[in-house]
Amino acid sequence: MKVSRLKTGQDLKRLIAGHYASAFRARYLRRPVAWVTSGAPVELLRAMGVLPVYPENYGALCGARRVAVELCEEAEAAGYRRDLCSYARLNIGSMLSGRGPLRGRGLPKPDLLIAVNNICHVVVKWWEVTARHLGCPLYVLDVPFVPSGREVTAHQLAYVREGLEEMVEFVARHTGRRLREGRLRRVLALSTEATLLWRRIQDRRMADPSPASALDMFTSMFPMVTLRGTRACVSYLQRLDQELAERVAAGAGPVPKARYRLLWDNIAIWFAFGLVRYVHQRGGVFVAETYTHAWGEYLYEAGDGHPMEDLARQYSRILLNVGLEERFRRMAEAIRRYRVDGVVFHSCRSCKTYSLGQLVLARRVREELGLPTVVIEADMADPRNYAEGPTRTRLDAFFEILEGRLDSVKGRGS
Amino acid sequence: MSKAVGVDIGSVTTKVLVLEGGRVRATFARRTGSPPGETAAVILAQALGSTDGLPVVVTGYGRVNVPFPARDVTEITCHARGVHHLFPEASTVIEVGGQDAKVIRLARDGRVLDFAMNDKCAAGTGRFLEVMAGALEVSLEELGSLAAEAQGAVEISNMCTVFAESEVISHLARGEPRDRVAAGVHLAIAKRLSGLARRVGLGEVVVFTGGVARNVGMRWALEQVLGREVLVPEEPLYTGALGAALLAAELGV
Repeated sequence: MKVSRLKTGQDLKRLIAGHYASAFRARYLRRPVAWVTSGAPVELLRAMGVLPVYPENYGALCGARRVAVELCEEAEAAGYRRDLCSYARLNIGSMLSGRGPLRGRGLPKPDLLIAVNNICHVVVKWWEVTARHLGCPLYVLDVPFVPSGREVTAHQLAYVREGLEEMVEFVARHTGRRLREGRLRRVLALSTEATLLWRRIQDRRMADPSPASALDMFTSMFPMVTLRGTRACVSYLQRLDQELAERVAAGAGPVPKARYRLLWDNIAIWFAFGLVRYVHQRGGVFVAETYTHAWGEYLYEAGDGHPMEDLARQYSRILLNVGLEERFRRMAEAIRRYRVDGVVFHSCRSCKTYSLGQLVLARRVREELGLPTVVIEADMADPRNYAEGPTRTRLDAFFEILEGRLDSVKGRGS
Repeated sequence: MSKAVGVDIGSVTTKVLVLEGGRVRATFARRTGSPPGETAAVILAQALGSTDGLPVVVTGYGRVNVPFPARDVTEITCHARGVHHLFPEASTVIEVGGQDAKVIRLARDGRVLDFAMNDKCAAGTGRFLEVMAGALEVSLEELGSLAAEAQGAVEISNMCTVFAESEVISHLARGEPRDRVAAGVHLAIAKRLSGLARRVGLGEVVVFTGGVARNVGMRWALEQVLGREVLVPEEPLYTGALGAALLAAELGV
């Protein structure tokens, strides 16, 4: 049975609207707002009653609503080069021009800024620019890279923990709010619950047909990113899990007769969801994305664990802060668990951290796992770095490779 | 004897190849023009009258929505098929056309293992060479032989077509001989192609096809940069159309 939109999509819309509405209202409620990077230890902020706002999520939104180019051009006119990350450019452009897709203006002004370099190093400069422009206090949390073949060392744990404690002091100093351990433990428990639900949701996609494709997951991940550690996130994920369970029971999915189960690597191309629909037309369905799986990593020990050490460990091990060997291990595991037939690598012009190393990963997927791969060149938000025709040709050729394999497999069997 | 037709609608040239009983019976090439499928339809009508009931495979950038019944297959698969037919031992295909360049890695049985294409940019393609020939005031053919016979080469560092053109002009203004500049232009493209080839892995037997493979300077430059012999089909322009016709015959569509 073919299904298109998720029923929980309505809940999602309300959650997104509610999240941004509360950010715009925060000033009146005397609730401090922090602009944070996607790899920030948001549980600490939630526990301290600080409302996190994600410029990267805003970037995705601007990309999907196709206003990224005009905002990027504002930044480019101010001297920011087109080689700079499009999320950075469009946010700087929105900040400089005061324009944006929500209520016709930019993001609500922050009371403080938190940048963590565990996703990339551009965010450090981007947040510094923001701090300078808005005259806003900034804390940069340094989370060293975890190279291949190495676990997070005791030294790193101690170092990041110290940073986290310093960050808490920084937040307290600028907001007058204290961190209470009981509240932190409750937030961490909610984060853990959300993470376990997110993993269960992903695992529903082992079914054939898969109850969800990349389009569903790229949007459904919003609460995992922005509302982690809240009750609202957990109850939304429970409903989503329920819906996917129903789809599996009914044998329903966006591509009921898919011939190829695919994996997507890198950030979504927010302005070109048509490309995913094209993959569906060609008989492919995305059963996993490294990008959405990256949000299934926030598990904290319940009860007696040391919360700060737990946070230090989890935020050190996130996908873009580990070596290529570990990234390949996680990818290979997803390929095996979700019975993937081929991998689509989005080489994202903006996100160098994510894109660098993809050719090595692709080669290993081909040579060690024997699966075909394709690399498409695009950008998550800036359509000027994307060409529809050549991209479709690459996907067409990828499907011809997959079809050739299918024929030869069939030929051998008969 | 049964016929099969391959149509390759490139950005610059439309190629049509007719197979009969497994042999090439006729080839046609004309400027593509606009809309892209129109030229192909005219050639087919003139050459065959009607293609009703004939298996036709169309490939190339203009392969979608052609005004005649045909199955579309990408130029990657078609070039692979054409090259494998001409050189069964080929393991790497370098194809350079009017506005794109690609490298295809072949399995022993001719299947496509992997491929890489140039970015959204004309650098390193036929268009690039056309512009450089204009700057050097020679024909495309002369540009190639100038390069192949040059004593040494200048370094062309810009791969943006427009900037490389001004680089060529300033080399000439400084009094560099045209052959050294022509050689530099070809080596710059060859280096870029070599980068693409390394992405998919360079095989033992390298075949160079597409319209640009007719350029002797390009073959020379590729051999220089890759450090091995590069094979070129007798009529490299038609390799994609040949592959398309072979697929049409096989699939019977």
